[in-house]
Amino acid sequence: MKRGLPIALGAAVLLLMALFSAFKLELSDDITHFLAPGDDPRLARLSRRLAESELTRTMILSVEAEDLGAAIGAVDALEDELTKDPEVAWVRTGWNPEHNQAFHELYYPNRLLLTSDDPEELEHLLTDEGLRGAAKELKRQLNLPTSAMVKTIASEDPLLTYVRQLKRLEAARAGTLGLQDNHFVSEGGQAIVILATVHSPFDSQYQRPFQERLEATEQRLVEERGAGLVIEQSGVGRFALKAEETIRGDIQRISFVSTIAIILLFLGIFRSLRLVLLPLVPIAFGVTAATSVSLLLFGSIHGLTLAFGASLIGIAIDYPVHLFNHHVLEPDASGPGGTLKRIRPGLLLGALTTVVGFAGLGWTSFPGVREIAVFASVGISAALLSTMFVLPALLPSQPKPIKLQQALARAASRVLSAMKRRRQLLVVGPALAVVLIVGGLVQVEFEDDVSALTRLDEELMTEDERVRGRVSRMDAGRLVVAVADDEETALQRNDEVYSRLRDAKESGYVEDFRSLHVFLWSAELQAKNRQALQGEGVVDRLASVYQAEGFSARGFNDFKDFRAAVETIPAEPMTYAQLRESPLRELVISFRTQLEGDVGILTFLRGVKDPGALAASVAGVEGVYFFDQKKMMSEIYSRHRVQTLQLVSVGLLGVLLMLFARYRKIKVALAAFLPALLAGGAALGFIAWTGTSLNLLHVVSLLLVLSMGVDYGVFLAESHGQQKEEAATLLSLLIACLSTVCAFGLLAMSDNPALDAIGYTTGLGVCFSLLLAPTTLVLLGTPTEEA
Amino acid sequence: VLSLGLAAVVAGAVLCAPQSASAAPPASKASVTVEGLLDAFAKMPGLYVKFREEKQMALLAAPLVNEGTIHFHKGTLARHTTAPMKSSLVIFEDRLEFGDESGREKLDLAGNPVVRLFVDSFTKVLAGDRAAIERIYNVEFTTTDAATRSWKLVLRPKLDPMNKVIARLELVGEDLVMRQMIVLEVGGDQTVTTFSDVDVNRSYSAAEAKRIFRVPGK
Repeated sequence: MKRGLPIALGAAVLLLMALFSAFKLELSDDITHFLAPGDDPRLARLSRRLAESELTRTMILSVEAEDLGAAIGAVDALEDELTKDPEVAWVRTGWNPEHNQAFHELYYPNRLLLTSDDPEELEHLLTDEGLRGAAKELKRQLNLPTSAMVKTIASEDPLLTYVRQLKRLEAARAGTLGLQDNHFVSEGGQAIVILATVHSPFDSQYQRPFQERLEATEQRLVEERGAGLVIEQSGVGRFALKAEETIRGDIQRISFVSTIAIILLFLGIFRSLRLVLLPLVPIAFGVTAATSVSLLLFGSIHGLTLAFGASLIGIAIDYPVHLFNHHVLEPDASGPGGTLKRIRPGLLLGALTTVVGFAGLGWTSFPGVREIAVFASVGISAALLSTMFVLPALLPSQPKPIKLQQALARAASRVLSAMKRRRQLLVVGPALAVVLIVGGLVQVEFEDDVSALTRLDEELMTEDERVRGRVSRMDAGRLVVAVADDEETALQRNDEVYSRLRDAKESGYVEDFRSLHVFLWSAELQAKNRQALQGEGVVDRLASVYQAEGFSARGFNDFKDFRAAVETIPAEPMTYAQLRESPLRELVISFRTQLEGDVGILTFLRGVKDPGALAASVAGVEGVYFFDQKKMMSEIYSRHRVQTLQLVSVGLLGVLLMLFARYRKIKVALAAFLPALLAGGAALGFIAWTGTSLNLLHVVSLLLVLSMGVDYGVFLAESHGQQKEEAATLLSLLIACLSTVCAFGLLAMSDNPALDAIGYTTGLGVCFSLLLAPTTLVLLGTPTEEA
Repeated sequence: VLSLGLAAVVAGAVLCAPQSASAAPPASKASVTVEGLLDAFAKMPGLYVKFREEKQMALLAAPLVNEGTIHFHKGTLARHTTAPMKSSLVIFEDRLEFGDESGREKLDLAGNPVVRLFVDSFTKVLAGDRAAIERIYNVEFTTTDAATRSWKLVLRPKLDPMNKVIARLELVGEDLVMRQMIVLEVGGDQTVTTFSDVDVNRSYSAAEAKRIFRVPGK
């Protein structure tokens, strides 16, 4: 009954927390969570929107055959299949002739509202001099190949506003692609298909079956139409799938190996299935408690918090290992509770220092990191409590002695004795660590590019670049965005963006850009055009100037048509809603995005030659940003890295103070503290020294190393002076170190740079900690104490 | 509409070519026939001709007058206007390019089936392909003066949308030499082009072709 109560209570608490977590769990993936308050959250939201946007969901298929006709035939067949696919939002294979009619119906009645987007040019146009220029231009147009069209509209549109709009559309309709039989064709003779998926390319649940269907269709077409048919693809989806496949494969493979290794390790040392499974109890308590408290405090948990936080709580496995080892080697006569009592100060101090270290992160300005700090602190505390109050009840009262464990303990004891006899030689260890730290500091380079955390498939990359080159796609992740509370203000800002980007293009800062301005101007700008044209005497002066320039009044119906057109300029401006509801919808829909309460108008860029100059060219326009997604994410990660390092340093200072408060002797406090610091520094120093750039994941892994390193130091310091306890503790550290190498260190086997970073830092760090903890203790310990 | 407008000029430019064949020596003194004309067109090796074009439009108080030269070589046609303003129109197999002092424009014929129809239809005239011509036009051929062997070939487009723009083309010549072409538009405007200095045996060296069959400034 005495043992049953804590088990029952523990099980009840665990069950309640698990149920609460399961029912209340709400995962968040809002990137703004990991932004400091100083960052513009609208840009972060935009970044998230872009990840889900049509730009990311768009795919390009390039179809090449023995001749263009065959390629176009294959494209038609492909289009038939794709339009039936539930995952395909839309497919474009060419210019839809119906758009010509839709364009005319929408723009011809509104043509005078779109006379000029430059107020100065508009003012000049309506002067006598400007009208003379317009008359000359009309005469020139009548001599051009397009004269038949010009003749039909000249009477109603002598300023040729509609022709100008047509030219703007002509430039925007297909970018650099040509047309053959109304199909998009590249300069290299490939027929092109552009399509968008319904779901994000990062959503493998939809993307994988879609890619499989697409591949099957492609294979069938090749079989039907001959081997000369080559279909290539450009799009994010395949990269996302490949990356996920690689990471999942690595994790499964490594997890399998590490699980087997840990089981064998624990079975080998403890010879008990119960002791193999029991370390999971504190981890389960830690994760469920952390999840429950986080949900209570924050309402939801970010996905990154759950991933990083759970990893941090993983270090709590050292507590049961420490307990089991002491209990099996030196069982207390009163049972597991007595054994626990002996090591309790070390466990408490180890956990407390870890919590202090994590809590230091709570001072960060990043809400997401604060959440991780709370999650990990609560988790470690819960894991400790369950180790102290639940585990003893689950352990055997009088465990059987295990020969291997006893032999290892004796060996540990001999090692410690040898180390104490040759204290001078031990200086080599910390000295080498210092050399690695200094060497690493000299060499260190930081990589904050998020994309560097994923290794892209070379073959896919080459194909993607080849296809992108054929269609000159706008650059992904680089754009100018005009943000405002309402659509009209956003459009006004977009008008200004267009004007400035036009200048930037002329200056060579950017190769090209695509703007909503080609299709729509702000109501304010349209109203200016209407007011100017309806100004007093404009039609009469135009009539007079045009006749003087050789035009026949009779041919212009005595300018009555133009007068009527001016008098009936629509009072209401053209709106985005009109475009969205017209057949031209697909041409404009990707330019506008809703950013919660704000409206964002996007301008897509291609070939940004000088990002600084481009940013400067739109700077100063309120609510307008040059958005470089890659740069922004790099800056965010860089700030995370720097601030995390700073807070870890502050946390470490707090840990040192705690240790000093506990031991009241600086030497002992340092003996507990320095191994972690030297081991973490040496691990990163070694990695930097080998030429690897450090990233945020190295820093996060450093946290793990420091936490475990301090635990190692504390456990040893607590047992200092008691030979058998020291030997048992050293063996605990060996088992903990090996289990950590199995759990985290094996990740270094991965090809994925992110997993590799975690694996190397953690694996090296805990090994260095294991070596340096006894070394430092012996070096700093007093001869009296050793005796 | 844009395409149709372009087509009208293409008509003017391309149809100049047949008069070149007119300089080929008549096979006999027998009366001129449409077969004889088309056969001569088909055998033309290259062409150089001066033109004077008068565009009469309702919009203008006075006609627009253009003068310049036309060149034809290996299926490519260039029309360089020298007065009153310089401009050039070059029709290649797959595209059409136009340029003047205000800028240059290019039209992909593959992407403009309407213009392609116009260009192709006139190519058939150049090729002397009577069957193709009769598929596109209603053909009327009359000899106006037996003594001077004068003739008039009237082509009335019957395919949509050509027939929406051009009412008829009138080619007037003597013997196998074409002297004038009139393009009458549906709206009443008309373009009268008079030809002179015809050289149907004009050959172009590679360097000449490179210089002539392009829009200047490129």
